[in-house]
Amino acid sequence: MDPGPFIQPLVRAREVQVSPIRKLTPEVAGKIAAGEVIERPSSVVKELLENSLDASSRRISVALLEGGRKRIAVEDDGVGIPSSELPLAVQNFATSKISDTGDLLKIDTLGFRGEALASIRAVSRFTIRSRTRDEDVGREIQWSGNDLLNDSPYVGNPGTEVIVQDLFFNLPARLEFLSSGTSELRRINSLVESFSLAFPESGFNLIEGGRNIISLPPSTLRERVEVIFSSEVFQHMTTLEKVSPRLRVHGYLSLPNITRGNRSKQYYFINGRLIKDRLLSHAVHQAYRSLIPDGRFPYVLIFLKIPPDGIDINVHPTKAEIRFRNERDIHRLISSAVRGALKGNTISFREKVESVYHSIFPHEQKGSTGTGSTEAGTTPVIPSGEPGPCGVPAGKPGWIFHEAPLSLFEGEERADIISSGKLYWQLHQSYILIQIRGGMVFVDQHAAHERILFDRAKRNMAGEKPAIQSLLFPATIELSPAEYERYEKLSDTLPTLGFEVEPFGLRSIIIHGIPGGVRNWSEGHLLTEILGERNTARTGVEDFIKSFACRAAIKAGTKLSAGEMESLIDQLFATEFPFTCPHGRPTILRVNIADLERRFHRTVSSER
Amino acid sequence: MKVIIPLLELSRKVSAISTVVPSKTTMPILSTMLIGADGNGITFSATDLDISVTSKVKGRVEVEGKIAVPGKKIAEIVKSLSGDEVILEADREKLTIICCKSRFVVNGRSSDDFPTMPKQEGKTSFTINPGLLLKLIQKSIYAVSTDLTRPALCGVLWEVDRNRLAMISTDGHRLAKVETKIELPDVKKMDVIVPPKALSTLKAYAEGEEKIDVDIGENSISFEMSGTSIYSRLFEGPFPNYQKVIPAANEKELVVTKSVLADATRRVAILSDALTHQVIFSLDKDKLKLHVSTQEIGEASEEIEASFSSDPLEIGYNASYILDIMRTIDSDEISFLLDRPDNAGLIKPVSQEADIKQVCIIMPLRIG
Repeated sequence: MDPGPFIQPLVRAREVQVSPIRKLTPEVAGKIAAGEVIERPSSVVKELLENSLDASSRRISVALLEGGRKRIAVEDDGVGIPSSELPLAVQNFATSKISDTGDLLKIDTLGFRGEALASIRAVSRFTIRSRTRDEDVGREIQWSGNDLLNDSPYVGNPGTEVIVQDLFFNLPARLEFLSSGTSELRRINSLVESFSLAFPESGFNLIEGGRNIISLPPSTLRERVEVIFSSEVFQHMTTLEKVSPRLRVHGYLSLPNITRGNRSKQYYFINGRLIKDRLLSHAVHQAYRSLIPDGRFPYVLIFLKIPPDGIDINVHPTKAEIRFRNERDIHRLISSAVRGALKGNTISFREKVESVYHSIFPHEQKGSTGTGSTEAGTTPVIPSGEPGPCGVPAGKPGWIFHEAPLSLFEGEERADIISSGKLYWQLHQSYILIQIRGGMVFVDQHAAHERILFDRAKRNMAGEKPAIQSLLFPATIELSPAEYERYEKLSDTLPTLGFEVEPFGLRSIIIHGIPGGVRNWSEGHLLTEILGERNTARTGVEDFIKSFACRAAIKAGTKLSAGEMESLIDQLFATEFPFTCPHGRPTILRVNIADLERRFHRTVSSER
Repeated sequence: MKVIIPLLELSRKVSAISTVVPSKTTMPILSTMLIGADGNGITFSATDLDISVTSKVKGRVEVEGKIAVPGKKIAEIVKSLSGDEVILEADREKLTIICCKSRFVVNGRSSDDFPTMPKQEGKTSFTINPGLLLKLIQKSIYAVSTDLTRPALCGVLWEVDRNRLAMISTDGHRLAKVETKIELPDVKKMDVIVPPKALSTLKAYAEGEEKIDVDIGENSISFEMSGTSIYSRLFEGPFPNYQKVIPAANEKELVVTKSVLADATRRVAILSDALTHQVIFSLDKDKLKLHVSTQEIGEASEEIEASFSSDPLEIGYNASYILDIMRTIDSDEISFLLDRPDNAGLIKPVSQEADIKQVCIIMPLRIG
């Protein structure tokens, strides 16, 4: 078919532009390869830090100008490069770390591809100077892109210094896409922080334009973690440790009361290498599920030690991705290690919060905004939707509420409560108020019961037999096609939880028994509601259980007797994670008597 | 208005009627009680619109009149007084209370705003002995549901006929049925659902009465006693068809002393699961063993002598349901008729009182 006069010229133009295939010159090939490894100043810093760490350096200093756009200098006190090998170090695919393909399967150094220095050199004005301890005189070589400028003896301290100036001076296209100096600095800052976590025994300095940004002396992991995560967060962290024959996981995790709005404080290291891996972060989030609200993220530092032949790091030049030989095992190991660490901590969690409470909110109140730790779970909260008391606008800290589990029912305080006569008060038929030593706590009755039912359901799923309350009047309910489909999907789960249910004609089901202790049965309406939930993205068993716990729990606005309140509190504290509901909202808030006295402008008395 | 009332009489009547005064209401007038004095004597009235009570108070009327005054406040004042007689004196909007040297002036409201007592237009009526009526109520009210999504189950079904009166309640897990043979020659056969609050209010006033006139209308029921009228709305039905769930063929009979079973249940239930209160009944030849085993709490068991001759059987129940039933049975021994562990059990007193026939149905709470 004739393409018509309008299209023809274009077709012709393309024909004209076709050139013969040519092999690229080494310069062009080098630049393309470099572009893959070296995307921005932070990639330069990453490569240089890896080299320094591979050279067993105790102190590493990173000095920048304009976030590294102008100048990057990385100096270490490592083993250095012998003068005779220095020129080789900056050639393509030159490395001391592997020598044959067999070595690729057991990489245990950070760098290995032999691309880094050559790539950096190719796109910058580059200086490398190094001296080993055995040499009296080292060597310094300067390049400008691929042009050798200078090669001279060097007599500085043992170790290696690499200075990278005017990055991408010969790649104007790349240069245009660089972010501002401050944003590059931010990247490098977080890079140095993460390296410092993996190598606490090394000291790190980061300097920008003569200003000290990071200054970390060599230390232990614990000390390093405390500095990087801040001591306030650190007090809410627990350690993690699990060893299997071929794997070792260890690290630090924040308890569920401390979360962030993003993942920026999550570090995963595999064999010392910082990895962004969805498998690992998924495993961790699975373990935290139902403990923290959706959209909140824990602080995580996890080191995974795995035999080098169990992973493939050589997926991408930046080495930030990884492939596992056995993903499922690793996922399971991480998830159970995290769950175990959090579970083992519920008791000490209470104690911790108790002790932290006073370090964050000492009696000499810094004022209600004094913590500055908006990320911390002990953040002052005003119940949303209600104007703050005493004209304090909602959203601004007024009362200091703490998601504060205390040693509520340890003997002494229990006695205190009893001596005051009444044990539990119900507020607005929704919250239970309990006086404790030094203040009071509020329990959200719905959230508390939800946690209890959720826990029960989880135990049923794990094999515990449910108690089934048989019904005098079996309920027959008719389902929509979508609801019936969901019912069929869940037909194994329902009996596990204690529902005795069977199909009853076309799209109808009949229920003979329901889980003991369930509220809001409403002649089957409860089940219709759960099966009819519209959120189609969430139809898993766990979501079903959450939805079941939520809907079967005592509602806000339900009057409770003193006995019911007591029983609820006791049951709550018998659960695995009493301080949050399955959606991660807190079940308990504490108000300190000192906060109360401050609000009344009383001088703060000693704790009663 | 000016009346003089013996303090004892006043405090008894005021405290009873103040339970009808709603503590929270969007209509301020409902938080008041109406005091009236005329040629027939002195009356106190209160209503929450669902239930209304008017009660006669013995005393001397010096000046006729009426006033509506804050109910809970008046009850509190009267309760605090000491002396023999109380003088209540009112103009249109203020009530003065004088007792010995105490004097209170309470701001009231015009009696015109107070809702008039509904006039009962009964479809049928009968007269009953208060002792019998209260017994029937006590034996049926405990199984009432609290699930407001099904209002019919939140009340007690009354079946009224020429030769019998029956009361039935159920919350879907258990059912209480009690009936009495009684000659009510003039009544029309009716089934109505009575709110438990009407029945508990009735209980507060029925003591010492010689007879109660019951008048049942389409949507309301009223009780007339010598000094008190109670009027209540009825719940709407339908009440579920309960007859078919009363087991007729339970043949395994356990006979046990009521107090022994109640005490043992109460004891082992201490360690029962707080959510379900499950207690397991293990039956063997002439032996009943109650036991609970709760993860992370512990276990308890108790063996009871009983008469049982069927094959061994194990059934779980909610301990609080068992205890509720034990409280309503007067006989020393109970008969527990059982079938399979997932079927309804039927409990009844071994010696039924001559005029009352009581059965309690309980559904098992079993291990899945």
